[in-house]
Amino acid sequence: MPRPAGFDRLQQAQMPLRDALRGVSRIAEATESALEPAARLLPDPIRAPFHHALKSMGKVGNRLTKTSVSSQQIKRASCFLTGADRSETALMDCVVSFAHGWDSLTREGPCREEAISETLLSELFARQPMQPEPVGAEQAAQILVAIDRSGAIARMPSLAPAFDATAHALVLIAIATWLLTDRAETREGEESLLALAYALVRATCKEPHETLQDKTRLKTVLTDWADHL
Amino acid sequence: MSQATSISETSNVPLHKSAQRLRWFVDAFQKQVAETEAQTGNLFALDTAAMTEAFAEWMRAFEAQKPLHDEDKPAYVGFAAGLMLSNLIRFNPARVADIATDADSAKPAYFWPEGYLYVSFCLNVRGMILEKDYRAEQHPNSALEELRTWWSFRENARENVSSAIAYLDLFAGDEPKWNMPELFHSHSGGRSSLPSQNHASIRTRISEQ
Repeated sequence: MPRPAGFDRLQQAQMPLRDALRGVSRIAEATESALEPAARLLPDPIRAPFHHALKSMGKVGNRLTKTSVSSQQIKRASCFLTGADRSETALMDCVVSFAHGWDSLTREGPCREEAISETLLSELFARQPMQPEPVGAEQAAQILVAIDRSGAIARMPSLAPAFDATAHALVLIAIATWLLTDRAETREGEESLLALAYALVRATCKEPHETLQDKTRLKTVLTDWADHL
Repeated sequence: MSQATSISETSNVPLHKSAQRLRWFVDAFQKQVAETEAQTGNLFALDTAAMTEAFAEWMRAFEAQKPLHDEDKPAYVGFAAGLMLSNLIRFNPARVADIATDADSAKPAYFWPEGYLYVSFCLNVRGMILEKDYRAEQHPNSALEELRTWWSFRENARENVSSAIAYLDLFAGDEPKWNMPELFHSHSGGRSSLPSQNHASIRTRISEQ
């Protein structure tokens, strides 16, 4: 029986499991905040275990989904994003690097209710038409627009806060800016660079949501910001 | 004024190119803060978001007036350093958290600690780029130590932050352009684009005091 497209990728790296845990952890964190006013009405003996249970779910989920990305993987992810490396390995490295970027920038900050699915992202990347020659930010812009139009990063069902299109776009553009810039010398340096990419995009991008809809504009700003990061 | 020699880096990339990157700017600025703290005893609290805002705004202004001719590039280094100073003053990413116990407010470092830090940074970067990339030397003016000049600098910068560009020229030993300091004057007859800012000339000049 022929394997469905993408079967090999799904077998790798326990992506579906990480996706599920990521969802559980985000729901647990958001549920705790959402139920905080009601939880105050609970008697102490019940309230403490309730908080403890949700906190544990959130922590365990965060720990288990924390993607470990090496400098080499980030480098290959960058090459995939520019079209310079179209190998399966580079594709997978781009998936985990994107997931790492999303988790790092949103865990304590914006878009906490949105979770990234590595499984959907890998399928999306595999479907992307690749340019015949490496084209730098043009390929990256095409991929970013495709991510935005897909359900690979989405708000968890049943979570109350409204979708923040601006914050969503800022984080996505920041991750692409980070991956497109010259690599840092150390792994720790990559984390600083990711945070700086977000700060730079936030300070510079006036219409993030509109920018994310426009491939030509996106290509220009990604090139510019990656150069200045 | 402290010479932040550690700002410099050893890569093969020309310094004026490295300085156009946020990662270099943040690293160099943090080193300058550490050196100024060690030199003065003042302590600063850094705001990374404000630092990034200052850099982003500087980058926009820098790109808007970039000269077309090579012969203008050394002069543009001085102008760009002034632009950086005006944006640092505007966004104020370092706030003094503790003044040295033996602070003498007649000295610029204690009279205006943040301004002193920003001027130190911009002069150091300016001097290093001129030296490393253009084989030119910077000869700071004695006004750098004069409280009267610093008083005038602070008052003018509060009123029109672009005046900082002219003051940095003065401190660096160059001829300041008091009228429309935010506009780069090409030496080669090339274009000077007009930024969309207030072009009012500086009301109180040092020479008028």
